[in-house]
Amino acid sequence: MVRLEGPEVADLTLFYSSGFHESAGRRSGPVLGRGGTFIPGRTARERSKGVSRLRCLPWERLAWLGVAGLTTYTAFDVLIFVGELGYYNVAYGWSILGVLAFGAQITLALTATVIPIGFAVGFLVGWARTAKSWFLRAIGGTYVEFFRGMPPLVLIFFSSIIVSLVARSYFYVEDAAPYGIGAGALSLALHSAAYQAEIVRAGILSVPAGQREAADAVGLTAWKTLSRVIMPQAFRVSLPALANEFASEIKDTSLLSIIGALELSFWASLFIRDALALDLNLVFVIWTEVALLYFAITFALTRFLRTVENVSKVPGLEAAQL
Amino acid sequence: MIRVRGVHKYFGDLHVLRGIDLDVEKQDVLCVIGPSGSGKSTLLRCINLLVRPDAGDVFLEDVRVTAPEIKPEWVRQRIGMVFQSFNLFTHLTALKNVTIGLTHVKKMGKQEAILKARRELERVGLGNKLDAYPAELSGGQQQRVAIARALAMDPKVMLFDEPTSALDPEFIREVLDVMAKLANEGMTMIVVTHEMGFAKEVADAIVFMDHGQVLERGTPQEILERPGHERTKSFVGKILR
Amino acid sequence: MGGGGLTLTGIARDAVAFLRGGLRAHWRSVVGLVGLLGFGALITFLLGQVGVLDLPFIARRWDSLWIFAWVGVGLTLTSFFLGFAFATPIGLVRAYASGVFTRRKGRPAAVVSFARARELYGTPKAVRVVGARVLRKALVAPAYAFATGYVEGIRGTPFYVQMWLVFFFAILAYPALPGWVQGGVAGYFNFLRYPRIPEEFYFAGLLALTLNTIGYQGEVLRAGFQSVDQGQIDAAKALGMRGLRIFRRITLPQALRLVILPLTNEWISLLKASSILSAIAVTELMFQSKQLGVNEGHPFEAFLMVAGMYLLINVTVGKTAAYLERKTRIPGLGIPGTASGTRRVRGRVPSRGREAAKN
Repeated sequence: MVRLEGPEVADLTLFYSSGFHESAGRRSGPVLGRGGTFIPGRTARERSKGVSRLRCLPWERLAWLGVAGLTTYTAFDVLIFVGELGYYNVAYGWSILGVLAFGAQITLALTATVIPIGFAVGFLVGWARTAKSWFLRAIGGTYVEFFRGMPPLVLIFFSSIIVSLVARSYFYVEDAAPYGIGAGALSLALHSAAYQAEIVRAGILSVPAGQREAADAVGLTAWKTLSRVIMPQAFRVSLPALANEFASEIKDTSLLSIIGALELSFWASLFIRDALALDLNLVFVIWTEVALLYFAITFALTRFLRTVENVSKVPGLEAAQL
Repeated sequence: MIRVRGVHKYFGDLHVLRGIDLDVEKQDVLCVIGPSGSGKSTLLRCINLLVRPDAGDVFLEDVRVTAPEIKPEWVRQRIGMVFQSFNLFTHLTALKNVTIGLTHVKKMGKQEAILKARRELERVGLGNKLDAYPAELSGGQQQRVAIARALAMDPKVMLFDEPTSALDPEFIREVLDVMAKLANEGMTMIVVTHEMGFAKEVADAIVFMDHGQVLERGTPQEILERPGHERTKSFVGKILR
Repeated sequence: MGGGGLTLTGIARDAVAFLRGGLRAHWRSVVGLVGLLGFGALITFLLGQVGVLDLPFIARRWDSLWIFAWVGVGLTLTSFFLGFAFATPIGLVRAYASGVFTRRKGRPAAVVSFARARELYGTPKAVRVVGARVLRKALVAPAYAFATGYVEGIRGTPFYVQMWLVFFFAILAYPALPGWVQGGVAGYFNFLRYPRIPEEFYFAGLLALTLNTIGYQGEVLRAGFQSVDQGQIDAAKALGMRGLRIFRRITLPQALRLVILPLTNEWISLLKASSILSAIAVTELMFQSKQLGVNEGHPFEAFLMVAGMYLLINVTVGKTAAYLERKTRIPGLGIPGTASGTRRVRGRVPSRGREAAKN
């Protein structure tokens, strides 16, 4: 028999009375505020200590803004210096930046369309793959096998021309290009949905079977079990893998340039063709700017998803084994 | 045989070993007990130089092994180690696990190595499992292969780092039996363990460690039945039911 | 039919067993296959009858697809293995040199410890030791920086953009290459009996694919090297083995088996990327499908044919990959995050081993 001696018991009581455990995930650092994702509202500790609401705002983040500003300024200086040496043609870089930024906006718009649709479909298919009904599982399995095996370009291209054809012949639409691009984006979403279905499925499967049994024992209905017990855990567990997949989707939107979307890769290819006729160094300029823009988009997305991850974090829940 | 003098080790800011002094004579079996985090594993690893002490010295038969001229490989050929998580080479059969050290470190011929490996595996009771892969063996069998692997190198000292802590209860006995047999045959052993029954029966001395220091040393009877130090008393009180 | 390693006799034995097993052993997959094909054939036939699909067109032009499929597969295979050769050093550098840019607390930099080295070894040897350390850092750090920059650059940008870069560059640079290189390239593609288009295009496509796969394979190899259990490396050190020997005998055999699954996934990704080469007029499957679909005016039929062809390739590759992985698998070993990495074997009798359970 293991006896809890005096010191251990006293420590626990002290620990819980301090309220320290309440601030899990939003803990104070030595100097710089709470750290982690900022959640508005004071923690119990801050309230009990009587810290003013104004003081609990993340002022220290302004420091990072300052650092970012300083870095950009320095980077520009370095760039101009290198440009004066003749290696980096800043004027050219500046001239193409406007068009590339416009292309980046189009890419963002396309991404913003493709990702939600892909996730919705992927979630449904992934869920179907874990259903009790053999039929649902078969449909899900066929979907995943088909869309995973096809190159995205084939899907995009053919959906685009078939839809354009149908739009022109049967609906007598004047300019079928937007429909074509829309169809292409949709097929991109469906293609990515196949991968996301696998991720969602792995997430659902990683929730221990005991959870379902326990919910049953408590008396929850099947739907309540799914929505309140299984899905929250499965979702949190599959977030990192989903973030990865979203980043891949951003790159796949470049294929839409082939069917006429005026997005980043489209302009990039145009510039590259022209630049090579003039000077090899210009290609490096284009490459850096395009890469930076893609990194920026990807970074923003992964940062956002990491914030989602942090806000919904539950200690002890690890990433799913795929 | 083994002398540890004033060994200190830091991991970053953490002072893991705070001045350890230890003596182990030939054919002695020394058991090291203590709570988690007291530095027992680190101490073992300092002895065979898997971890380099930041201060202090370790002597193996009067050779100062912490001296910079001594190559760690020289030390490790003379000291065998058995790990808590077995650490068998999963892509090799039991036989090859034992022969790999012989052929590549001791530069033995292939046939000779196989003969010796077979003998060692029979010594630990696994003569019929020569061609089994670690994944096909139970935990107890895996640990016994690990012991055979270390024994095949003919070490002067054997170090055991919580050898039974990762085992299912049904397999603990077989490993402890092998270790007891080894002790009876006269091997010098340093064993970090929580198995007090083993310590009582087999050990010549027990050392209690806490927070990186050796707090008490004595015979099994002294430490387990009449502990002197306050911390030893509380630890032994929790371990023995 | 697990483990046992990959040998010719093993494969032959498995083939015989498969054929002999015949219908009784494989009836499930036969039923599944027949069902799927039958279903697809039925739909196609019906659509053909209704007039939506032009069946004779499919029958006529199906044969022409094979050579173009071969172009895609051939380019993928070539660039895959070329890429593997170059990705190995990149994976190695990223796996083992990541320490150059980190400074651990309590571990002094090479220069600071010169004083300590001097008191340990005496001045002449200290100079040698510290000099060697500095030299190693100076050589390894740029290599690590380059490898990381390259891998992150490739993985962070779309293949489409990389392809255009390489394409324009290759087209301009190809005539400037020495004659024997051009001859070799042309000869290689002739040997493979590719359709006759200017070799620059094939060359550009191959280069783009290779550069891309180097980035991804480098990452896979790095993960493979780092996934080998650190405990086994400790055990090897405790036996007295040294770094290079440990790498050759312990890390490498296990890492190579670990990466088979991710590498086959990468191969399939590469095959899909090769379809993008159609945009630079490389005559592979996607290009031909564009021909059939747009120029010959049968988009539906072309899509069905191409989809069927790609599915055929993928099923074949998938089955081969699963077979390979099964034959070389070490039970219980896998990169965490992949299917083979979730098998728990340690300390428990594995359920698949009836013989093990008998003791």
